[in-house]
Order: sequence, then C-alpha cells, then structure tokens
Amino acid sequence: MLNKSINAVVALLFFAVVALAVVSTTWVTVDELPQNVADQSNIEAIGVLIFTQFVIPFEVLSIVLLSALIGAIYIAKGEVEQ
Amino acid sequence: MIPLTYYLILSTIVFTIGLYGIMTQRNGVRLLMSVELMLNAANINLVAFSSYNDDMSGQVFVLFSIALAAAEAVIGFAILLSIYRMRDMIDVDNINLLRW
Amino acid sequence: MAIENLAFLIPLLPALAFVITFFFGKKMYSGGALIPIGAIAISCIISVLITINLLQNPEEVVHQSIHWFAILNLGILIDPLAAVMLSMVTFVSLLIHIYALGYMSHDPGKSRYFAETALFTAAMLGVILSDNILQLFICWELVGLCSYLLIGFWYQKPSAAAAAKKAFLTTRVGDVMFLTGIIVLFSGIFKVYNGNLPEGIYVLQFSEMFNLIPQLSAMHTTILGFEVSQLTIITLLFFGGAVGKSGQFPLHVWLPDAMEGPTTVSALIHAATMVTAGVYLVARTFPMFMGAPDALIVVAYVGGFTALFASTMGIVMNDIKRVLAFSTISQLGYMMLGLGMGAVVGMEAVGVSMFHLINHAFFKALLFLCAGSVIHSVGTQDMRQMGGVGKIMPITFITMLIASLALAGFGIPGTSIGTSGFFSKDAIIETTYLFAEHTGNYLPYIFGIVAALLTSTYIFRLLFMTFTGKPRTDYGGHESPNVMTIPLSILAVFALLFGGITKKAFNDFLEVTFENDFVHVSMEHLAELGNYDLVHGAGHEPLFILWLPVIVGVAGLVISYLIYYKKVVDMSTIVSRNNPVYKLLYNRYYQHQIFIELIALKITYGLSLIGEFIDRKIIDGIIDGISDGTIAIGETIRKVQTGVVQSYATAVIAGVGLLIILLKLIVEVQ
Repeated sequence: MLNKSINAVVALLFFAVVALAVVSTTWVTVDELPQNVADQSNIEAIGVLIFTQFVIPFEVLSIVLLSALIGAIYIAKGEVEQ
Repeated sequence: MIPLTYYLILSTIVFTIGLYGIMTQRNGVRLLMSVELMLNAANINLVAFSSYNDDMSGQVFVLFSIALAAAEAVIGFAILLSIYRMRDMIDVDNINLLRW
Repeated sequence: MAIENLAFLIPLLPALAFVITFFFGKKMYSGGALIPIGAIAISCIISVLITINLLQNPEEVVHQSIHWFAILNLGILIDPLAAVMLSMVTFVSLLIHIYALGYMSHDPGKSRYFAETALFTAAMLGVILSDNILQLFICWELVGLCSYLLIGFWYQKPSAAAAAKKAFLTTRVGDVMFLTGIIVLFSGIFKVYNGNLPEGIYVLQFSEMFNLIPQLSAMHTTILGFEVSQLTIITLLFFGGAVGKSGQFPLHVWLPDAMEGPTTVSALIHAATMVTAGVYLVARTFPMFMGAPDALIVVAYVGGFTALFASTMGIVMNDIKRVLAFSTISQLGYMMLGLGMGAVVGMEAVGVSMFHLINHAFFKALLFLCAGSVIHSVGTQDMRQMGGVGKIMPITFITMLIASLALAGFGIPGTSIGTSGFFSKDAIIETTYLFAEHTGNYLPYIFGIVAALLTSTYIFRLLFMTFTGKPRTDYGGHESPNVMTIPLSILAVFALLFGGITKKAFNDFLEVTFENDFVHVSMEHLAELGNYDLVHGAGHEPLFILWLPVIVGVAGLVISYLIYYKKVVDMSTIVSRNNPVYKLLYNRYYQHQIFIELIALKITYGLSLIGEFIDRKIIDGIIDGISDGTIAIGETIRKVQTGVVQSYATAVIAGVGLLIILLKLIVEVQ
C-alpha cells in the first residue's frame, strides 16, 4: 500500500511538473486552424507526403515491422516445436 | 478555437496514467498497455502540434509511430510469452534477475 | 683524415666489444678476450696520437657535438685534462686486460668478465670525454653499474654479493648528491636566463656553465642562517658525488669491501680508473670550484683527512688487497688535497693533482696486479700465511718493490731522479706547505706529512710480510706466466720513470686546460669571485721542507724493516686484542659498527619503523578506511537494487521531476 501511494505521489509530481511547464510556456501557433469545407479529411495530403517526402522512412519502417514480426515469431515459438 | 494547451494537458494526463500503470502494475500485459498509453500521449502531442503549426509532417510521423508501437507490442508480447513458458506466470515482480 | 675525427671511436670500440663479447664470447677462444683487448688497443692508439697532437697545440682541443634533444647535446671534448686521463685509462686498461688473460684463465665466467670490463672501459672513457655535465653523469652511473657487476663477479659468494650491494648503495649516496647538484645548477642557469633559455646553446655544456660562473656566484641562498653562494652549493654537491665515487671520508666504506671482486677488477676499477673519476670530476669543473667561496677549502680538508685516516687503517690490515684498498683511499685523499690547494696555487693545483692521479694509476695498478700475481700463485690473500714469496716469484717481487718505492715516494729532491710517486706526492705536500705558509694553517700540511710516513710504513710492512722471511705455511706456488709478468714489467717501467720524465711538461700541459677554443676562463678573475688569495712563484721552500717527505718515507721503511724483518719489537705484544689502539685500527675505527649497527640498524631502522607506522597505520588507514566505508555503504545501498524494473522507473521519474524543479528554482533565483 505504501508502495502504491509513493508511486501515486511520484506520478502526481511528474504530472504537476509537466502540466506547469505546459501551462507556463507560450506556444507559437497559427492564428486560425485551416479549414477545408469541401473535404474535411486530410488523408489524401498525408498519403501524398508519405509517398513523396517520407518515402525512405516509410520503406525502412516496413523492414523494421517485418523484422519485428519475424523476431516475435521466433521468440514466441520457443524450442518446443523444433 | 480550442487552445493548444488543452491538448497538451490531455496528453500529459494520458502519459501520467501510463506512467502510473508502469510503476504499479504487476501483470506484464497491463504493463504493455501502459506503455501504449504513454506512446499515444506522445502521438496526441504530435498531432496537436502538427495541426496548430499547419505542418502535415507531424501527422505523418504519428502514423509511423503507431506502426512502431505495433512492432514494439509484438516484441513485448513475444518476450512475455517466453517468460510465461519458463515460469508459468507473467508477474514482473518476480522477474528480478537484475537484483544485487 | 685527421686522427681527431676518429675520437668518437675511443668509447665506441670498447662498447662494441662489450656487445660482441657478451653475446658471442662463450664460443670464442679464451672467452672472447681478444676482442676487448683489440678494441682497447685501438682506442689507446687513437688516444695517444690525439694527446701527442694536443701537446703541440694545447689550444686546439678536439670538440665534436651532436644535437640530442631540446637543450641537450652529446659531445666529445678532448682538452689536455681529458687527453692525459684518456691515454692513461686506455693504456692501463689495455695492460690489465692482457694481464687478465692469464689471471682469469681458469674462471668459467671469463667471457662475462671481459664483456663487463669492456663496458666499464667504454663508460669510463665516456666520463672522460663528455663535453657536458649530464652526459658525464650518465656515464658516471654506468661506471657505477659496472663496478657493482664486477665487485659481485663471483656472486655465488655471499660476501661478494654483499660487497657489491654495499658499494652500489654507498656510491649512490654520492650520485644522488651529484644529480642534485646538476639540478641546482640547471635551476640556477634557468634563473640567470630568466626562464628563457636561449636557442641553439647547450646550457649544460662545460663552456656555457663556466661562462655563467659570475652570475651563479652572485646568487645566494640562506641555509641554516648562513648566506651561501649558489655556486658553493653546486660545487659541494658535485664534490659529494666525487666523495662517493672516489671513496673519500665518510663514504669510503665501500672501497675496502670492493676487494671481493677479482684482483684485476680491483686494479682497473678500484685503483686506477673509476675511483679517480671523482677527482676527475672536480678537476673538470675546477673553474666552478675556483669561483665558489669555501668550496676548495672543504675539498682540501676532506681530502687531507681521508689521506691520514685511511693510511692509519692500512697499517693493521692482514689481507694484502685490503692494505692496498686503504692505500688507494689514502692516495685519493692526496689528490683531493692537491685539488683543494687550488685555493692558493690556482690552476697549478689541477696539474699537481692530476699528475699524482696518473702516477698513482700506474703504480697502484702495478701493486694490485702484483698482489694478484701473488694471490694467483699462493692461493690466499692473508699475508700472515705468506712470507718468502720473493724467492719463488722474483719478477713479481722486483716490480712490487718498484711500485712500493713509487708509492712511498722515494727520490732525490731537486733532481730528476726519483720514482713517479715521489714527484707527484711531493708536489702536493709542497703546495700544502705553501698553503700553510700563506694562510698560517698548517693542518693540511700535517695531514700530508703524517700520512706519508704511515704510507711508507704500511707498504713496506706488506712487502716484508709477503716477500721476505720464510714461508709461514706450505703454499707451493710458482712464478706467474709471461702474459701476466709482461704487463707488470711495462707498468713498473712507467711507475719508475714516468714522473721524472714528464714532470715539467705535464704541469705546463694541464695549466692551459681551460684556456682554449672551447672554454676560456680566467683563473685570476674566478679566484677573486671565490675569495681565494693566489700566490705566485712557488718553489722557494726551505730545503728541509723539500726533503721532509723523503725523510718520512725512509723512516717508514726503517720502521717496517725493524719490526717486520728484524723483529726488534715483538709484534705479539702490540697485536693483541687488549691493545686499545690496535683494536681501534683493526676494527677500522668501528666504522662497521657505526655505519651498520648504529646508522643502518638503529637510526635508519628506527626511521623506517616510524615510516612504516605512518605508512601502514595512518596513510593506509585512511585509504583502507575510505574503501571500507565505501564497501559498507555499498553493502547497505545495494539492497535498493531490487532488480524490479518498475522501482527503477519510479526512481528515474521522481529524480527527473525533482531535477526539473531544482533547475527551475535555480533559474528563478538567478
């Protein structure tokens, strides 16, 4: 029980610190959120970005995912089946 | 217009919840869920900043981040699975090989 | 090609001979002895040729120098002083090497012996040839090492090993002083230049050192309330090195024990060459001694006292080599005394002292080699077991007689008839008389005269005990082979004639040592710096003074003749454990007790116990305490490391939070 309260205090401390930092910082933002009434979705724009500007990270990520999957299978499979 | 700070506070709250979960939960699956929470808190931040700075790359990054989170979860579960095989339980309390 | 260009070969050839003999000597004829002999012979020829050239033009000294690093150089300097030493060392070394062919012929380790003596010769030549003080010091140490190795040549004998250690440690005391002197000198030079040492000048070269004498002399340091010239400190520290190497009081204790080595080693190192390195050092830096107030007086007193002190012990020794060892110490004392007389005669003192050094090298090497010849044949070193050896070893006996006459200084004053020792020792005693007349201080003169009487007494005692009378034990024995007697004869010729022939030329030659292309110093000027009052026109002493050294020499002969040959006095009454004087002398003034039991065992051991206590309990205690404390804390704290990653995470987060707050606070304050 003592442990949990300590954890809670720490978590609250962390929250307080970060929240204070967030509140006291002046964030630079645009004045008005861009609105596209005709098409509310920005999927298309994201898709274009992924396949133009971020195509190399995208490809790398695919390899990472693949290797993670293979690794996961290898670990999870264990030695039983061999 | 909702101020940016609201999103950031939200993300902080989510992050703190995840943090608290990491610190308190014993069950490995719950731990992984807490990690997901923390990751998603970061994602919220990314999206918020992206929108409020009119820069789409933040949102693209969130997609990457989600994909990486999937990879991370996969590995995490795989590790948990092998721990379960060895010890018949997934309580991290008893995994104290790093002890003195 | 001028012979001067080959000067670098003089030390190099013996060094090469060392390498070859050391590694390949075992497989060669007679342990590879011929290689060092050949190398030293060539060195000797080069040296003598250079000396002859230098005799024509004493100002054209040989000086070669190469850059070493920074402000240091390696160089060769052959001025008259170095030239005479060089010729003597190579010549004596050559003869002793040849002699050793016979003497060491039965020894299984002779290739090692010849390698080490070759290395020694190379190092000794390095000492002589150095043109800067640091190179001299390096060779000086190398010579000490060779001495150590050769004293302990028969290292299977515990006494030899102990003697080697003693010699090494005792001379080390002097060497440390010498090194300190160099450091003080360097810091002085550094101060003279205000920390900006000039480019392209090797400040430790003798010429540069001598140029800075006035500035160094002007610096003063306060020690124990006395204001002492920096130069005096430097020179006395140098002299400390010389005291260690040349066996002067109180660091003479190693030299008698050094006789544990082969007799040839005693002759080469502990009679003719290495022990004179101290004298050479003082002569080499003589301008500095001239410029340093009181330094020469200290040299004179130490030398004079050593001369007397050692000769008293020489009288009672029964070991033939130990008598000679004490004799060597005593004669070295004479040389130092002669150098100290520079206080009144200036540069002439170097001539007088070096003259004695060279003559001494001849006759003392001869004495040792004769003793070695006797030991080789009789198989013992105890004179009480000898007697009558003269009948079976006539050549050895005659050469020994010549050497003894030279040591005792027999000759006729005012003529050129006399043994070499006569001319040089009398010259020293005459300068002490001059000193006495000039300053009213008769003590050095009395030292010199009394020591002369004792010298004559102990050397003829040795002669009578060994060579005359009837054999006291059945020792057999035979005359030594030609390879040993021929060097003896050559040395005997030199011991007999060298002094008389070269007397005048020698002094004139050395007089100009420091007046040439390389160094040029004015002794008159330096003497003013050092507050020495020089006198000119020596040689008008009363007839009695001229004759007195000879008279005491003859007196010593007569005393020994009466006691040890005619036996008018029964020695057994004197030589007894109850006679306090005999006991004192026989126990060598209880030096062993003082040095070993009092200084070494009581004082040094007590100090080291205190040191040990401080080291073990206090310093180690602090260190151990720190480490024990750390371990204890670690033992406690490591419980925190539960191995549960979650606790770590908690701690990390708490820490980060606190850190941010702290940072914030600090920033606020600022």
